[in-house]
Amino acid sequence: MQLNEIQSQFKDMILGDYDDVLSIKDFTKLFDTNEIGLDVRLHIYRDNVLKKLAKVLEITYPTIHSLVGDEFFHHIAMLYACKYPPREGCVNLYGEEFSKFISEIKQTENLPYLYDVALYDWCFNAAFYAVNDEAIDQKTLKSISPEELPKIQFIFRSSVHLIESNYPLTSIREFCDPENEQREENLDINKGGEKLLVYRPDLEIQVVSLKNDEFHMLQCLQNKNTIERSLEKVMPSYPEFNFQEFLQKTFDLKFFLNIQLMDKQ
Amino acid sequence: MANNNLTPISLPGSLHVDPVGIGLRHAYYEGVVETKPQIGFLEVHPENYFGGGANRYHLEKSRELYPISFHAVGLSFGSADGIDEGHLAKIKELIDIFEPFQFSDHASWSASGNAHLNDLLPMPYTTESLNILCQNINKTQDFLGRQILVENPSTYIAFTNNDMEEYELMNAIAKQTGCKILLDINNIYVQAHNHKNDPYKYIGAIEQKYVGEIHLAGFTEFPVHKNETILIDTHSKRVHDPVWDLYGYAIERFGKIPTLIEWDEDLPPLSTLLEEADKARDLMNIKLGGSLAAE
Repeated sequence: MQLNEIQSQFKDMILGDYDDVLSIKDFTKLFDTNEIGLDVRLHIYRDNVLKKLAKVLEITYPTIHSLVGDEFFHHIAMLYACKYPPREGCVNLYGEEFSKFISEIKQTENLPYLYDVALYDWCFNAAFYAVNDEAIDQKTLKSISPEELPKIQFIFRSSVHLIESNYPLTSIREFCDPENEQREENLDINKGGEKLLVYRPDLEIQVVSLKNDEFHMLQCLQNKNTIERSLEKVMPSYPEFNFQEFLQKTFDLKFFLNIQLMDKQ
Repeated sequence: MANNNLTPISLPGSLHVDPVGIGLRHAYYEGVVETKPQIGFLEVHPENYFGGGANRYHLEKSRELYPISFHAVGLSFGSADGIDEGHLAKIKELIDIFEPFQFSDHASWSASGNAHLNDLLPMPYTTESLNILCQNINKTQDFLGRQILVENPSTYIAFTNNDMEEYELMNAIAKQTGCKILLDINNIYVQAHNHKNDPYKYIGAIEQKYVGEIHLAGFTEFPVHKNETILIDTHSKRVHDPVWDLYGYAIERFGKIPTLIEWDEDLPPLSTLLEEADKARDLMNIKLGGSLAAE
């Protein structure tokens, strides 16, 4: 058997149906089966791979881990690892589909908030590993004429993530953080939703609570709409929206990496 | 064919202590910078520093104080599918920034098809495996423009179709590619126990000129039926006594080789790692006849 086939079957033994692979005699005869036995030895590899990946997910999704408990988390994390193994040799950003996966399994159907909480955990992980970049300041806009300003697109810093939920995500994460000594004793999961921006302006991750109009404007801008187009989308729902205040706040908080002038849209 | 144009490995001339280092993990970032322990170098997994943020900041601070070596875990030299050039490019970017004095990865595989299994998996010791390893190592050395080191793996299973012993494979890799061997003494002990081989014979068979670094770590004993145990390379405990004995033999044979204390799981206080580093340094001095610290 050629090496690529051995490796493919070894991978299937770990991620796929273990018994099916062990029924392939050309595969099992590759290994020395002394008194300890093939099954024990192969299981060590299978366990090592799946437990390590589950540990990676535990670090990425600490709030989910806390909410569902260690045993159940590792059970579903290993199922996830089999279905969605890493695609590259660095696992810093492994597990992006976990929020969808966890929300679709039967055992969590009574925990509808898990999807949003997992997305929120993911925002922290993605912001943590985002490349270092520097924000532009408001002076950058001075080079733009008033006529051109509406045609501006904003490029967001790589760590910026917007998230909205019907659940109190910041309270849930704080409640589940074992190092948070000031957390509340009880958590009202139905106390209301939030619109948030998670990013890493420097070394520390920050969470900014946004008003509805701010959130929707940022969403429009992040989706590569120009200022003009974004305002067209936001103003009908939020006629009181103050764009100048919004601009000041977003520049003060250093959300933007750059701007670009669009001729047409 | 060995590439003779590769930049050879050399220890930084500024080292004032014997070349014993520790693995830098996040739990030790502040302790290392604040206490500046007497160690020769720090070793990190470069993959942990892909992207930016706090990890990279702390590595910069540590790099100001110590030589750094990079010990990669994600290149999958043994993969029949070849190696990921995107991964290599990210490593090259870090090498250009942090200028590590050594770069290493493993004689094992992790990637097959569309999956990367994030572990060091076994391969048969055949001519085909040797060719694939050499091809991927050559590609890496060419891409990075420098000589690298390749580590012998821990294994829990043996193949029946081996054409050679593992130590023969390691020597052949070094001979054919011009790379050095990162000799993991704990891995030699672990695989010798698991396959009932002689670890001293292994070390005795490794050619002296190829060894560029040594790793020491602790294993975990996993009981199986019939009073048998399998040793797992967990990097989660102090170095075991038989591994220290083996290290002593390796130092007698190979001389003053940069030695790393690895600890990746159930991280102890920094002081425990430093005790292990002191032990390695003392053993090196005993075996080589007095302190060589001021060389």
